[in-house]
Amino acid sequence: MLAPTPAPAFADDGELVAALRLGDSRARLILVERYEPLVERLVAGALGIDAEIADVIQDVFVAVLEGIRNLKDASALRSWIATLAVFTARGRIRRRRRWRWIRFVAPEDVPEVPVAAPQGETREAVRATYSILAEFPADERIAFSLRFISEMQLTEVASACSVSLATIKRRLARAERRFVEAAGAHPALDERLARGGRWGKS
Amino acid sequence: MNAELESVLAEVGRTVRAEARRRQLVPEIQARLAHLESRRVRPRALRWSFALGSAGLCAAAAAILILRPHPLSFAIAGATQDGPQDGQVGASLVAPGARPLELHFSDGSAVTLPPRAKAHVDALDGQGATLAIEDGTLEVSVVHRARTHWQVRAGSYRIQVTGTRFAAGWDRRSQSLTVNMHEGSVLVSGPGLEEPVRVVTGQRLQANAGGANLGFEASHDIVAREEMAPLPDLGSEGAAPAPAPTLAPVPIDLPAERNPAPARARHVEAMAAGHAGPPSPGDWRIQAGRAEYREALAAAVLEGWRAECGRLGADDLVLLGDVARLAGDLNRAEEAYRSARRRFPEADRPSFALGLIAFEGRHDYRTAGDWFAGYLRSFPRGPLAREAAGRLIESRLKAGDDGRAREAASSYLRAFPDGPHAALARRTVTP
Repeated sequence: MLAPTPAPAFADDGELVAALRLGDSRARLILVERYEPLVERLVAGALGIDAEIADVIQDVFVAVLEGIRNLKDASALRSWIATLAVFTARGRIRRRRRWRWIRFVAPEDVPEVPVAAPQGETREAVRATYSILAEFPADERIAFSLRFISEMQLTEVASACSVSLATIKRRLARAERRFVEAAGAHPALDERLARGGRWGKS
Repeated sequence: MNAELESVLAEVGRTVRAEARRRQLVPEIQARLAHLESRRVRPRALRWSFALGSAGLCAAAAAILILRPHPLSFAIAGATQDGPQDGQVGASLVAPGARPLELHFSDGSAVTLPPRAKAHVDALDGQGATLAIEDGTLEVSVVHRARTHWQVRAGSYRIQVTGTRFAAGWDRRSQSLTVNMHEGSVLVSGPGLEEPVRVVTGQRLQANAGGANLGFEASHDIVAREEMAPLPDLGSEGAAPAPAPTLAPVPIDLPAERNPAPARARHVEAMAAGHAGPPSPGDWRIQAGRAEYREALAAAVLEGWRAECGRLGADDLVLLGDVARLAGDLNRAEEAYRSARRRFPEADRPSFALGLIAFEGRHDYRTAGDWFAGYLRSFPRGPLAREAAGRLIESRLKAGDDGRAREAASSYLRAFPDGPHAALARRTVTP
């Protein structure tokens, strides 16, 4: 088969954006090839191991393709996509939260495909982390996951969340306090907290 | 700083990313976007006005619709001469005579039963359907929506589907399942599979109670699908018709490991070529499937580049060229494509790919144009004919050959008046 991705064309984002605006299908393939790892990193960090990740990533790229004509600075493509990924993931988190009041299980809570879970201590850590984050306000959850799970720089987190550096620092400080408090009460994380340091009990 | 807790979170991040990578989402996303693109037939302005006009109604109905989703329904075409009839859950479906039976679902999904295949619809709900194959091979095309949940059962096997196209075959006598993925991905579980196996675009899974084999889709299946493409009028640059391609099937097993000593020498060659590592023999196709082209190329070099060029079947040889091209090694890519063209003159893709290299890699637009024109002459009905015809216009324009560019544009508009290069073609014909 001819691989679904064409030759390494559109070396810079300016060319890529111009081609996307013309509806070039090759550009679309390269867009996904180039930026899916970034989107995947952000979305997976925000949502965890989740059967709907492909849906969310698809939504991000649909938003990119629909909004590309309004992108003023092609050199900002990467950060714009990161912002769209963050907003899309946040929207998904909020939507799930809205479903909570309904007694029956919301469709979003039912994995559409079985998801293989990691094993042992890591599995417990993943489960504990996302169960704690599930109680966070969406903005704090996003900021926290970008900073500590997706391991982004502070400036990148601020840019992706479309807020100032000062705002993101305040948001992260609140989220850190909230996480430490919750982790201290969680058996899977408490032991590690006890070892001291910035978030430690000592 | 609690380095331990931070490291736990970093570990959590690595774990969730690894899980996402394991699902190989890029081909699935590509396929979904292509599918969405292909379904955008309504003009944008009309869509917007329609969307705005119906927004009020949708908002009022949304809660009811969400809380109480409509089950899908389906119609059966081909069962009688009287036209489509409503399908019933549980009713046995068998194609009569030599004609296939087509099931058209209310969400836009479609299933085709060839003659002698037997199946039934097991269940319908708001998110999808469950099909049961009793015998034979079904062609399934599921439209992806927000909460699509389709399943295909075959014996004790379960195929989980979101949005995708594939063929699922069930041999009742041998109790064996075959899945050929055309687009997207599915998750298969059942006898012989220790855990659910994701099958992605281009792959074939064969499974029975004795075990399973995941490889690449045999080329004759791909050709059979391509022959269903519409027949374009290609004008003067694509005048000569070509015989229908009949590629030889390729083995779906991964090649066995070879003599370790030469392999080690080839490893040195791979590293010297600046390719990423560490590669391991026999896995370049897997790495290619993960879009790890540099690693795949290094692994292919390790296996013996020249030998691979002389040994591989048509599809794998083109894939090898793709791997080299996407890894940036244009010389090796050309070598693989030329080898494929020489050994399999009925294969269309090598000519097109050589055009791509000339166009995008070497910026030799005259040569690129010649490759694309050659493709159209040899494969006027080829699956890449539209793309080649568009590239031909671009190549002629970039080469400064305005006369032949206009000629190519005229041909394009005759064959593909609504194609992606139609706007360029019109500007070229009428500057």
